[in-house]
Amino acid sequence: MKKNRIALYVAIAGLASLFIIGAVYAQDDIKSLKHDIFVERERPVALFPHALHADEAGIDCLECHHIYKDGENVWDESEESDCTACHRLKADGKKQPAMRAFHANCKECHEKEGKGPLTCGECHPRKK
Amino acid sequence: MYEFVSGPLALISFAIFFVGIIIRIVWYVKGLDWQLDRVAYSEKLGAGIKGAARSLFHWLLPLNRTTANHPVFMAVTYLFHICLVLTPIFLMAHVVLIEESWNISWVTLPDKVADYMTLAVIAAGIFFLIRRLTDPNVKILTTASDYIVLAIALAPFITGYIAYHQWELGAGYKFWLIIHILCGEIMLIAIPFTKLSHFVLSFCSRIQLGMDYGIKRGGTKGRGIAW
Amino acid sequence: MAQEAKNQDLPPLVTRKAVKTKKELDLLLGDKGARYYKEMEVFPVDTAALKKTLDATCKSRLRTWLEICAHCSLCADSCFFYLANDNDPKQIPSYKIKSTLGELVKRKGNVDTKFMINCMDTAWGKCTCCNRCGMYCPHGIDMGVMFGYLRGLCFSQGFVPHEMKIGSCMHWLYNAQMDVTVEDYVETCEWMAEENEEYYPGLEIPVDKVGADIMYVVNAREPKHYPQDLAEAAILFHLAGESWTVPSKGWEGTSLAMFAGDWACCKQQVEGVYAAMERLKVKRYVGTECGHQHRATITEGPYWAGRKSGEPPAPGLHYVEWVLEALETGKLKLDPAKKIKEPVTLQDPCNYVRNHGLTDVTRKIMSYIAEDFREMSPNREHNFCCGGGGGMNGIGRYREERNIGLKVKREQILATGAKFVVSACHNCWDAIRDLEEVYKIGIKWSFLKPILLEMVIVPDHLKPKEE
Repeated sequence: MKKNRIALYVAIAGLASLFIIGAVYAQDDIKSLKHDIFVERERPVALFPHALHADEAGIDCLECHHIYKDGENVWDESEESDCTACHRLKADGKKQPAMRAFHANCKECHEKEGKGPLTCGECHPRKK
Repeated sequence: MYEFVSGPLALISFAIFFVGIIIRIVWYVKGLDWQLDRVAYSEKLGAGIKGAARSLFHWLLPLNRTTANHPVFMAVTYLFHICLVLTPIFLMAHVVLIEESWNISWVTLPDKVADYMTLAVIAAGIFFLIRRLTDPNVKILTTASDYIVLAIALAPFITGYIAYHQWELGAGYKFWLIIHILCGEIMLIAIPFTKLSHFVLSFCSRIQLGMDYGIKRGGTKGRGIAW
Repeated sequence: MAQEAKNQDLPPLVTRKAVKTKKELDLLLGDKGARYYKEMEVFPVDTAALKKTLDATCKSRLRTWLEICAHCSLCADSCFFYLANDNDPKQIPSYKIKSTLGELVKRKGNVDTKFMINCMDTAWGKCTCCNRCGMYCPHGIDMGVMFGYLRGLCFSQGFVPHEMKIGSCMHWLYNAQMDVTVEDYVETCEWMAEENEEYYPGLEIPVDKVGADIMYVVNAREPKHYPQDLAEAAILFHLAGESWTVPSKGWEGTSLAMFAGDWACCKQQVEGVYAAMERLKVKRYVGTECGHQHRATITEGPYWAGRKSGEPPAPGLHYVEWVLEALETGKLKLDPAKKIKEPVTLQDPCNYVRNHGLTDVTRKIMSYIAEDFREMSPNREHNFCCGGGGGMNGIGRYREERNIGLKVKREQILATGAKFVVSACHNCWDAIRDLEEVYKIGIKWSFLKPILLEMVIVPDHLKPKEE
């Protein structure tokens, strides 16, 4: 039975690790900002290769992800990571509307760093 | 390049445009002379304002004989001007850029509607061009500047359409976007210096003639004339 | 050769200055235009003076009009000359002004004699300053106003039609468009009063009656050529029981100087009339059945005289306004049985309809005098010029152009089916008379006065006593 129990632990650990790996992979799989709150889109979905930003460019998560408490960004990976959970279609208190938040977040950084696209069509390309 | 044309160059163009048209309006009003024009502008300001309002009303709306006599041309003209003015001002992409720069924004047109309005401007422009090339009445009046002015007015719409639809056309999206912005800036800068100044001076002229009729040409007599 | 040599000894006819002496006037009158226009062909342009005038007087209004013209050609069919000349693009108002004043401004006055003669031939021969085109331009560009201005420039350079030069000279010399002196006029008044007193006891033409309600002002053609018009006016005032007068000095309301573009003379002319108004302390001015009399003295005159209010010293009425008032208040009673039975149409004169808004007055009068009144189309402020306005009737050089222009009015009249045209304007009256002479369409034409006189009921106390 002991052997069985070990096998069960291994199986659980294996499954769990699969889940973790899967989750990590799932995150890195983000290629665009397909948020459901944009019911009627004027432009095609904006491209956003998460891995390119997080892994290759090595940008700190906190550059984008944020939850402010007393003026400090306290976000960590356990917290909400869906932008549109807070940033809705319309501004809510101090929280910017989603489109503005995305534009500000992406474009200001691209501008500052001199990297990444700035024009409309480069982020919102039409399918060819 | 994009940053330059959409940043400093845009600011410079807007500055030239606004300062330019203000100077033109001031120059126009300062050049009015009650005795040379034979209109008692200030002595009979009330009658003048009434006449001016009447004139604007009849011509901003298609309530005039010219529209009745030339319905097709005037319909195209009204459509052209309405679309030409409203599309760039209420285009979402433009408003978004302005909001992100200056934190002010206003209502926007759905992109689809703006797209059709752009096509309307281009189609009307082609109509004007064909008319200029073929109608003997228009031909005799036409000078090179008429074509240049038409091109200046149409270019932002044609290039805007290309950029919006991301047609490559051998040069790529970014090229056309930059050209579009440049064309828009050329138009803004050209307005105070060319016939395009009719953007404001047409109102000045119409108000002046409305005042003339309101004050001198019987505006205070009978039922008034719609000029 | 001998003839030419002789001509060279004569004083020049073409001059930049207005002609103000009897001697020069006689010289002009002695020529029928042949020597005048020949001289003009080699008369130099004073480009420096032209530039100076442009700088001083061509301001933002005109420059803007010239600049923003969209070259759209919508003004084309607003012009009767364009229509009468089979839609000739060279008759488009915009083209006419662009190729003359437009070029002149662009070249800053640096133009030659040939150019100025073309300006003259366009400003007087292809435009009557009826201002119709201005009502059809989407930008509100009034080409009639610009042609008026161009006439002034042409006059200042000596490029003015022979008869217009003479006309302005008449005003300088006689304060009237014809050589009728104050004495001639007063005599004519006395004569007309005497002539008709028998039929209208107590009829008088009071000259210089201080404090009268109405000061009546005429067109010099009336005392000179149709004195009965003066008598008719007197009888109607008499029957209406008006307190009225005619001035001795300041009796003439018209202004060929306006047609000529001699602005200094325009000023002198209206100031004479205004002085009479002030001298006689009259309540109102009534001008005769003449369009440009009203335009010159009541509408434009105040500005030439420097009156900031834009108003003459006393309110100015056109004759039709007085007639309607007299009919509506019952001062004049017409016999309804005598209404004109046949179809009758009405000519709207540009100068007091389009340019002074008297659109409905004449129509109301027609309801008193005509049983079958038929509107021309278009009418009121949209009516076409008769074809003879702006001095056109009087200029020999453009007689052919004028006659072609008359075709539009001919078609308008024919379309009404009426054979009788009422016209309360001398120029329209003349043009319609000439129209009949040229095209023979079988029409009659009349001022209002003779029609009214036909129909008016003479109150018993004003009837001649039976002997």
